[in-house]
Amino acid sequence: MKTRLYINNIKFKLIVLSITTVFFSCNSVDHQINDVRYENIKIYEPYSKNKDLEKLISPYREKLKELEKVLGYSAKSLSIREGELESTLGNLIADILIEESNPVFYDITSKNIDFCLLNFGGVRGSLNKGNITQHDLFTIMPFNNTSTVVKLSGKKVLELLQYFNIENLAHPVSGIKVEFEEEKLNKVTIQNKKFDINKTYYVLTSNYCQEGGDRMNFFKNPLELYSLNTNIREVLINYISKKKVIHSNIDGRIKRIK
Amino acid sequence: MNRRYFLDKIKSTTIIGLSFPILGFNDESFIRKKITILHTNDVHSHIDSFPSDDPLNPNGGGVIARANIINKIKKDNPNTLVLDAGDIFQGTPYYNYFGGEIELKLMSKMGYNACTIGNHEFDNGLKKLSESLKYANFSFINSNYVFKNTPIENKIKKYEIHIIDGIKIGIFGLGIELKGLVEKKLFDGVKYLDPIEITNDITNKLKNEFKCDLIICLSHLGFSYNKKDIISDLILAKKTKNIDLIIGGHTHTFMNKPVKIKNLSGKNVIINQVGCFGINIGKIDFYLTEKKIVEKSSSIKV
Repeated sequence: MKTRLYINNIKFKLIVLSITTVFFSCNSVDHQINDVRYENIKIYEPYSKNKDLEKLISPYREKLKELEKVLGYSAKSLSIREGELESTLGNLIADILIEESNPVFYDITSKNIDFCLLNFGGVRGSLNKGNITQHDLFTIMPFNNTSTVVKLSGKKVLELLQYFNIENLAHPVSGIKVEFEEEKLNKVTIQNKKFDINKTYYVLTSNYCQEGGDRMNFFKNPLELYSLNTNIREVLINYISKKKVIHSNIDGRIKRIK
Repeated sequence: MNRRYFLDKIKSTTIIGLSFPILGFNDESFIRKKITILHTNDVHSHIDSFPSDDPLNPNGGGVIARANIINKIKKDNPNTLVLDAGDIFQGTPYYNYFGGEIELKLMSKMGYNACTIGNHEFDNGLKKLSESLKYANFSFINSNYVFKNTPIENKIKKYEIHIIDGIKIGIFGLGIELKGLVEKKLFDGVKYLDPIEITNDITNKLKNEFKCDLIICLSHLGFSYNKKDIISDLILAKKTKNIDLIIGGHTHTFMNKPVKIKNLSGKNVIINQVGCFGINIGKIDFYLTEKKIVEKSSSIKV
């Protein structure tokens, strides 16, 4: 009885198997790509309307209106992208940050910050000439990064300077003057004194860079670390509200001779 | 009843199978189908269009204009997928204030089908990212991050298959190495896996197991880098098989048109990326031919 059933089962399976094979092969559908066309379309429809979406956006936009309050004024447009190794916007940000952070740092340590280095990628867009709003500051500095000071050996500072050869970008700096000839370091002064590899330096940066963000590995495991815990964007907002008018120029603080 | 049906099936197929060798081995009928892929990347919370006095893109971008373009194209071809290659978040106060809620609600309304995860999706940490996902009615796809024991475990798909007009489209996603790019505490517990190995595994599955006709990679790796040891879309395309289209992001590369690269087996891979901030949208139309095949070999077995 058992054996018979077993044989029957095998037979049955064989039938089912062959039937399914046939069934699928008759209906097998194969698609082949035989042409591809493409178009990268510019989104530019200044007068287009969409009631449904406008209704969705409007309460959010309403809440952001408080950001339109004017904080100060810029005499010209400032951007992170107009120089080669430095930029007007980068210079402004690094200068403000060191000016505002040094008294706080001095209170804690009785030492002065030697220089500041931030990352190019942390600054977005540009500041247009004219009124500066809080909204503008959120746009140029959207990240919630905080200021941090590290004590670095001269050797690590040298590594930091070489970084400008790997990442040839206008990373914001202040308190330092550097001249490269091609990839070679020609002149380096920190707080108007010649760079000394045997000394240590207090460098102001963001918590993001300190952790090695954007491959700034020289900031990792510093000799000393001080978190000032102030949001960098807030520092800028307070400064501009206080000073009202801001200026910034390309001043050759970091350049490459070819 | 079933048995009767199967027997009928055998009879009819046998007849077809036996009758066709005279005409040739296979019967092929062709139907041309068109699949449209629309895609964005690195929109970075740009919801409003640029102001009219913007020096680079006066009046450019904006979700209203984007939604209307998407609707127009979908009207022309309902067989359209709308995709995004990551960095939806961060860049305007909309994200600082509302944590991604409005970006995802708008993408849902615009009819996005899927996106991948960019590094800036982690900017508020995993818990906040997880909470914001409830505003998306489309899929988040990533194949090379391991989210086990993190707040977004089980909320991210490894891959997804869409069947449109009978065409199977497999979509998977690749993310960039987060170490050194995102603050450690913001992606705590997320493991990064080698994109090439994962691509080989997943595309093999999509192609051979699920029989996908079209395989799309949503990549936030970046288009290309000066340093050759950093994995990019160009390297990915060359070193793998089975991908038909890489939709890229991260490097904010404005491409006038896609590039075509030969993959490991000599087949074309298309790579496209449309810059950033919702200034452009990419449109790729795939024309496919449907082949219905009746094979002689199987029917003879019966």
